[in-house]
Amino acid sequence: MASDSDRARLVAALGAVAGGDRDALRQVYQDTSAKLYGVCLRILDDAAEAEDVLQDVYLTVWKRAGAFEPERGLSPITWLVAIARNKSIDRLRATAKPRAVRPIEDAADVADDGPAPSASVEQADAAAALARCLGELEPRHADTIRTAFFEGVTYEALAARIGTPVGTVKSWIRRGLQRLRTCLETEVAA
Amino acid sequence: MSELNPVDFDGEDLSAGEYALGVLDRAERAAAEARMAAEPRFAREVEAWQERLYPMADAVKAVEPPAHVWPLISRGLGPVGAKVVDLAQRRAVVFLRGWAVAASAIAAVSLLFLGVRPNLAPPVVTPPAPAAQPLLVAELTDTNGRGFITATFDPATGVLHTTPTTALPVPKTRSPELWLIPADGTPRSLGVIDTTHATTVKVSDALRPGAKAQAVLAITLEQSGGSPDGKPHAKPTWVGKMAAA
Repeated sequence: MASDSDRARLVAALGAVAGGDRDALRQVYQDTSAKLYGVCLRILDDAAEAEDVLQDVYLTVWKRAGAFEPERGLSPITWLVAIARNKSIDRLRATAKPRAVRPIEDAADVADDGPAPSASVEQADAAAALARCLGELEPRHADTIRTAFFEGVTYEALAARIGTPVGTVKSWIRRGLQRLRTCLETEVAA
Repeated sequence: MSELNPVDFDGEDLSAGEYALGVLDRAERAAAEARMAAEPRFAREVEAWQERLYPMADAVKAVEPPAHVWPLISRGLGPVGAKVVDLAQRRAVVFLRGWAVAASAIAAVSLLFLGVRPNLAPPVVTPPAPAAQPLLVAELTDTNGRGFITATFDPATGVLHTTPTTALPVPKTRSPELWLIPADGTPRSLGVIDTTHATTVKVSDALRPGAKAQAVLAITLEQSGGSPDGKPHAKPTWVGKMAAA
């Protein structure tokens, strides 16, 4: 597992990207593109679309690196994942291509063999805390939250997928989010 | 803050979490993004949810992208040292695109303003309240291409936010006044706003039914303090149509 210095390295690289350093962008790409491509691919379920979005993601990083403010406490990988997810979700909403129906239980199936190469200790801790808190939720609440995260689908699509009214799915997710937050606050305090 | 959310849950606004998770539809996402731009606190809430939820990405299988992707990105960066120029060009494109939209919108709305009618329109009939009222969003574009103003309106609370993309100063002797032009075509004043900062306007109960999709929002530069008689005295400088979010 990589060390926390990876986070510092990524923060420094993004700072250099903000200053127009192309080599720094290359480094950010080398360190994070496999993870971000995985995120895009999982949401879009289409290699060509995911490649296209991935290009857009790094061009956005190039243009907007100055907007990343590490002093506000946001982790660089979260910032990058947010760009990748938002671009993928926007693409998904725009194309509205019906995707292969996949049983919701598959959501738990995507776990990698181990932590991603770029995962820092801190990040692994955060992932472990989140996994514990998801484990404390009602299973169907946790499952819908996981599916929503991995696939970036709307409430409506989730509801159609599992044959449950939209209102019910909304309440599962909202309740799940509230409990997750409370649980994570306890984890941090502990 | 939660008063602006159309879908309260146990009285709590969870739309920041829902946006971060990615369950909102296209229009809801646009509305959330408009709020992020208008409300720094909401933007920070979204970030807090991203910090909470995105460690889930650790479980996403990393997949090496094909080798041809990086060269395409690299080419997209433009010539070495051209980053600033590239941004300027993009702004120019945005400006031109915005101008074209504004020009047609203003042409249409100017007709309404040229024949300003006294406020004799019959009272707008209140439609039955739908179960869930989505936010309405309008992008008010400017003939001078200086930037646009995003307006978001929550029909449930009557609260309307205006947010300029960047501070858009107006001459000191003028006050920017916001107008709602509902289906009957008569501009109703929503008051003087600030085009250099985000502004919150409370739309009166009487005007709320007219504030719906297809209604036009316009900003005119009136005399200092705003129009003295409740009618616009200038052609609109910013114009946009409301769309259901």
